[in-house]
Amino acid sequence: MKYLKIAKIAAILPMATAVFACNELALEPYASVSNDAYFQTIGDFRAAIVGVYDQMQLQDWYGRSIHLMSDIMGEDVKQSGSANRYQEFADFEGQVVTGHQFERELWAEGYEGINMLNMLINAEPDLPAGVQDEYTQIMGEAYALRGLAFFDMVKMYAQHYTFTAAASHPGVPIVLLSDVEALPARNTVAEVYSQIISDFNMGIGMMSETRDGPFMMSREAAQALLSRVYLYMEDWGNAEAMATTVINSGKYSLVTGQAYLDQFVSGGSNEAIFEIQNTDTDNFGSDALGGMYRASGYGDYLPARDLLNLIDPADLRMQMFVVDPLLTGIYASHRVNKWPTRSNTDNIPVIRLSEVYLNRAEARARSGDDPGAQADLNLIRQRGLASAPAVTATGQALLDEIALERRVELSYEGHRIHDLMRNKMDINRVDVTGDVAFMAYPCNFCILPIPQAETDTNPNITQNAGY
Amino acid sequence: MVSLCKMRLPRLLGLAALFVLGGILAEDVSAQESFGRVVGRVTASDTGQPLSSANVLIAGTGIGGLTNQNGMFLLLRVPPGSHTLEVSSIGYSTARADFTVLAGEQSQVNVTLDVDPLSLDEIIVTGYGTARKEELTGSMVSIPSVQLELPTTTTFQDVMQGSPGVLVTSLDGAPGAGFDIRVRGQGSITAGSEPLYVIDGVPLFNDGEAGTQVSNGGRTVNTLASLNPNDIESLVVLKDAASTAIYGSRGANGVVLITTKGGVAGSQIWASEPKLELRTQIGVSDFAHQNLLEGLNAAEYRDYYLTARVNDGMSLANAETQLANQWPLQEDNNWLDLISRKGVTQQFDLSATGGGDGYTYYVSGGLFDQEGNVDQQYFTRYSSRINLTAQLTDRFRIANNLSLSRTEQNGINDGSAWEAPFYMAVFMPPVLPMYDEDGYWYHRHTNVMGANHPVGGLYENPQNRETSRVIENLTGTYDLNDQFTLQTAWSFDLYNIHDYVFKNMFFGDGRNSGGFFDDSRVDNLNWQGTHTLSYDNLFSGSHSVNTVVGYEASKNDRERTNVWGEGFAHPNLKLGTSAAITEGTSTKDQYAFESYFARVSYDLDRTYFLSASFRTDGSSRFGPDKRWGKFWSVGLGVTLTNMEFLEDQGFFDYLKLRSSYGEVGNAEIGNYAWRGLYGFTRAYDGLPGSGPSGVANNELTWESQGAFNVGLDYAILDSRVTGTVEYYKKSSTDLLLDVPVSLTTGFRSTLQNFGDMENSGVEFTVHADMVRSQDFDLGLDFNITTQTNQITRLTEPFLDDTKRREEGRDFQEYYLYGWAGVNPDDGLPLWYTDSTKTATTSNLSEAERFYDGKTATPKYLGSFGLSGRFKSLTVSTLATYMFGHHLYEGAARFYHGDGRYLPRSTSRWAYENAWRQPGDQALFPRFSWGGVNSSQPATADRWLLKGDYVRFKDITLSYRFPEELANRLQFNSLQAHLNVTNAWTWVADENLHFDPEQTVSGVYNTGTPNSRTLSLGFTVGF
Repeated sequence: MKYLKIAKIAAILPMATAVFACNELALEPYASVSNDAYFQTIGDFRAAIVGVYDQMQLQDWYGRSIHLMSDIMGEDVKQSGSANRYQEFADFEGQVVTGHQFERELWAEGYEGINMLNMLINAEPDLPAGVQDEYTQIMGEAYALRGLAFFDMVKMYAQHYTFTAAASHPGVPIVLLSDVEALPARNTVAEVYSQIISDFNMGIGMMSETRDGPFMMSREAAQALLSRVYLYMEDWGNAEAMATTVINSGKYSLVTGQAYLDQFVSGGSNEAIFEIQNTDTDNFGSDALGGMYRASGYGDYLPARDLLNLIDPADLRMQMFVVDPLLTGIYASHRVNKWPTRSNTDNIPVIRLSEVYLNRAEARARSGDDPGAQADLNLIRQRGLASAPAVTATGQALLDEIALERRVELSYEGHRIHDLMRNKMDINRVDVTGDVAFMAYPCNFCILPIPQAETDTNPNITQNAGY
Repeated sequence: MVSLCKMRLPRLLGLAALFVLGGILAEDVSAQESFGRVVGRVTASDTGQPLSSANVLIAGTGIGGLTNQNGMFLLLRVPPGSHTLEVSSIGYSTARADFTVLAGEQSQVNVTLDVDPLSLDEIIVTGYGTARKEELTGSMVSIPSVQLELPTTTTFQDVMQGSPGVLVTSLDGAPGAGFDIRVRGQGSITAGSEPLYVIDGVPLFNDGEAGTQVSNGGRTVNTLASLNPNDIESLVVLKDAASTAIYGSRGANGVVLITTKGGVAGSQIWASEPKLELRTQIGVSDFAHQNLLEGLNAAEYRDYYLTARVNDGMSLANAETQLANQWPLQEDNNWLDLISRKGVTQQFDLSATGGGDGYTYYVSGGLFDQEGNVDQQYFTRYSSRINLTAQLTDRFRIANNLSLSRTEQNGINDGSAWEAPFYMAVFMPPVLPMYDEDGYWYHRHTNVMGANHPVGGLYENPQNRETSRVIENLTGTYDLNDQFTLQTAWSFDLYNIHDYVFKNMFFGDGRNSGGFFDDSRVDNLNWQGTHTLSYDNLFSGSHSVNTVVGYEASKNDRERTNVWGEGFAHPNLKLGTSAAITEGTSTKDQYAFESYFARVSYDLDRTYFLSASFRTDGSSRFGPDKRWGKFWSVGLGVTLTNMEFLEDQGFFDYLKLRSSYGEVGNAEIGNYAWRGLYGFTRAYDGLPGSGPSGVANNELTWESQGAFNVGLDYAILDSRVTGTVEYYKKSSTDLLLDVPVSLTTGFRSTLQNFGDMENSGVEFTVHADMVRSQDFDLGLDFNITTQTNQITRLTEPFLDDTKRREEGRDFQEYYLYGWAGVNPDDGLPLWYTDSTKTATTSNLSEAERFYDGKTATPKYLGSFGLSGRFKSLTVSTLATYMFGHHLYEGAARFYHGDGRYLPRSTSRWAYENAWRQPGDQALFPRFSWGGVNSSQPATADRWLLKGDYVRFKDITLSYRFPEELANRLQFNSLQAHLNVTNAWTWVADENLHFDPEQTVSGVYNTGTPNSRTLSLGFTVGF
């Protein structure tokens, strides 16, 4: 009897054990997908390219830093009493002291974007014929975005294209494969620009539709950006050709009056070619680009009065500034109000039509077509102030007028420092609250240092001169 | 088999099997006979006082019980005949008394116990079993329930502080906040270093990350605060491999075994008369550390502001205009006083224990309510527990432990977020008005600290957490015969966390979005099934064998949903229905373990002891190539005083040598860390996006640890002095490291099993019974632990905030810029250029960071205390201490300002010690708007302070009213307690302006300081 019972128990225990024994140990994640199961359907590509736009939207890239750092190093920003974030770059200290490491974040986020694009571009899916067109469009966007990403990196971390005769000075690493163990060296600026042009051209060849208006990359956006790339390279013919293609596409027009003022607020204006679309869910709070300028945000950065003095009080663009009575003494008098919305849903321009006109004006003036240049310049100038006299200057005087117009029209969109450098001009800050009022060209600290996190891990990378 | 797994069946079948088993065994029910009863009283020989909670057991039967407060016991259902009664109690020798009982009659047996300071017979809960203290070959600390019941402790972790080899430090003094606990040092670099918590055999969900509030800072939370310390019978910390290897891949950080009252699964069934107990306590608290950092008053602030402006080149007139523009209305507010308050703590616990014919119960209900010392902070816990056991047949018994709890807490985030109370208390200028003309919190200072308000934020920006938790454990135990016992247990831990953060629309972080809220819920389910077969035997009187083999499967399932919204239509509205929902997310993750384990213990003549354990764990956390791991340990013990060569000496009354070695693991490495993943947290223009979120590493595996322990238990001077000396060395290998990679790869780091680390130290404890007499006892306890930590393999050093992790160095060694003081000539900061400290510079770019031999790891830690009794009055004291480490004042570079952050204020300490004129020997540089020449980098040793402290953690005075008086009040017993926690704190560094208890990283991040509480309580027995 007793042994029978033990036998029964002996039979039951394995049963209890067996049902537990099939506890599944190969658990799949719920919030993510294994790499080997990804890039199988067109939906995977759709999400992956959206991921790249999300990446560019980050505060450390187009969300704030790339424009703000450029403008802080330029002439048109003075620091308010509370400004502390980018002080080492504002004052050309040549070392990173604030601990924010924005130079590291832009580098890391930019290359993360490049890796995301590489994974997308290098995937070899087997997609049905019905979605091939969309796949080609997405691939086109990916190539063009990679071109833009390399351009952003090379413009922030390397001296400008014409710094050396054959652009043989150090650029940034060209990374085209996803390899977590890679330790790439820097390519020359010439090589990087060559990759940028190749990527943009690949994209231009593949994109046919506009998937989300100016909020995503398009053929024209790639062409417009390429006009800027050629301008930086002083390839005037191509710069003009690309600009003309965009202008003649008929897809864009200069907006006037209130529409001009609203273009960053509402987004998607006729003038916008590519801009980062911010929505309520992207709210960075006061950390957004606009929050760094507005009194209702941090209000850390103020417009230099010499820039304001360049603008006629009746000029439409003067309305991009507001007087803040709390600003006194050296901090008086205005604040930048280009991105006025407190919830920070204002859009960040990457490129818009007015720049394309100004790119073409400069390219034309440089190639001797002064009348063409004057016409382009007048369009922009008289859009701001209808009563402004038509430009009659020629030669260097005309070029100076174009540079001035770029400074005003594209202010706080991250252009001035790069325009100064490629024209080999000194930095002259007239209205200044920081430590540095003048910085002679050439300037080591007008580009960012290669971040220490990179030099620590990558023995093949070289630091920028002076840092 | 696989298809079966996909179904819900396994869980149900496990339970079904249990009851089928029970059903078969139910055939065993033997015919009822008529029984006798035994009553009696247990007293102590030294004091003559009755002993409560003594174990009373009739040898060879399952019949036993616990004595009540008056030392009385009653045993029912005793078979007629002659028996031996065994009575034991901690601190006393087991006594035996023979008696005879007749059917239907009652016998009386009174027993007196002799003192046994060694408590060799004490039953200690170990992994998957129990052991007599004498048999132990491993290293552990056992904390009895009395230490958990008396002080006003929110959580049981607090009581572990001061135990040898266990570092316990509160992360934050806010009610319900968390702790850092390290058993024998920091065992890992990036993986978890917290011990495994097991309650009545159920591993507890203890994941701070899962519940950390989403936005802004990160107040620490304590998922273990849901347990009522009053329900805990014993707390055992397993420290060495011999004790923890049976927990395999989860044993490396130590294991804390919590046993609830009446909740020893599979223990003998004891019936006794009902024991009803009510505990109440009420206390009042303030901050324990008296030297908290203060801000400026209005006059000082104005002087600071103007000085900094003028030193920057502004005319005084302009500076005054500027000040008036900035603060059109000025008051003089002491923010530290305004955010602080005295807090009231209340505690009520009602419990009933007892049992009858074949069943026992422990039922309790508790309410704990604590007000923090920062306005609006509170923590409330409602808890209840039902522990039942039933002897179904002579051989089959079941036990069910069920606990339910609910906690509610509120408090603004700590940390250096703008609205953190202890950050703003100093940093926010005193001139900020409290209210505006409308009587609402003043908020027109939009360019100062995000228009936050030190007091207003506490009221208008609630930050709540509510948790609900059910822990259930059902156990069936069957004695196959006198030697073999089968046990099967089914348990789950169901834990729900609800976090809610609200920011008002008028001031602070919500002002730009019309107010916002963040509502998140975490649902956690952990289930486990454990089946064991144990074998106990005593051969020919001298060989004793005890073995257990088992199988265990468990799975954890966690889901989280989050909703964010903004733009409230009305200030009174605070929930999602009245806001625009800006984002909603939901996630889920899981992990599972499957394990086989075994342990053998053997002793010969109660002199030679051997134990060995083995466990193999399979885990979903590891890649297919590394899924299963093996862990083991061996322990040896010898009672030297039983051996011939020590027989004739008179010095040692008891001497036992123990040693163990084993290999254990740490599986706290993340649930999907080995996989290359695409994540979907991204979105752009309303479209969902994806991006790479992990790098594949099929070789990724648990961290392993080889742990060696040798210890000596001693008793001298007629056993009046007892204690232990132990040495340990833990070598961790395959530590998981985020190895930095070139950022150009698109990743910042990859996770690899990479580093090695070593922890070693000595633990010494001594207990001395200085006086032992009828009316008067006096005892002294002291323990000290030394600890050394060294990273033994790390190819590339890496910077980690204030530290640099480097091979050959302590994990927590600081790596900072060297502050050389203020130049008396010009008030500029001076920095040492390098570690030689020979040259100084005012230009930080000419200086480099270096090691200076200072670390956050305490060299010595421990506790000491005196306990005494005079008749019915007892007093106990406990002081804890840590020495040899440094703390880093994380936010100092902001709030000890030199003008950099104007119009924000500065601390009074900085104000009073700043350079004013040439020749000043000052601690702080001259004030200048915009800061002085990089005087305040994030990582400088000017913010490093000595961490040494001694804290009188607990003083308890307890009086036991005479039985007659209690009886006259219709009580069985009555005790009164007066208790002071954190009565007094000594710190070595006079400039330490914050609580000395900080995280193991040593970095103070403006958390709430710990409280000092004075409380009065009563324990009433009915």
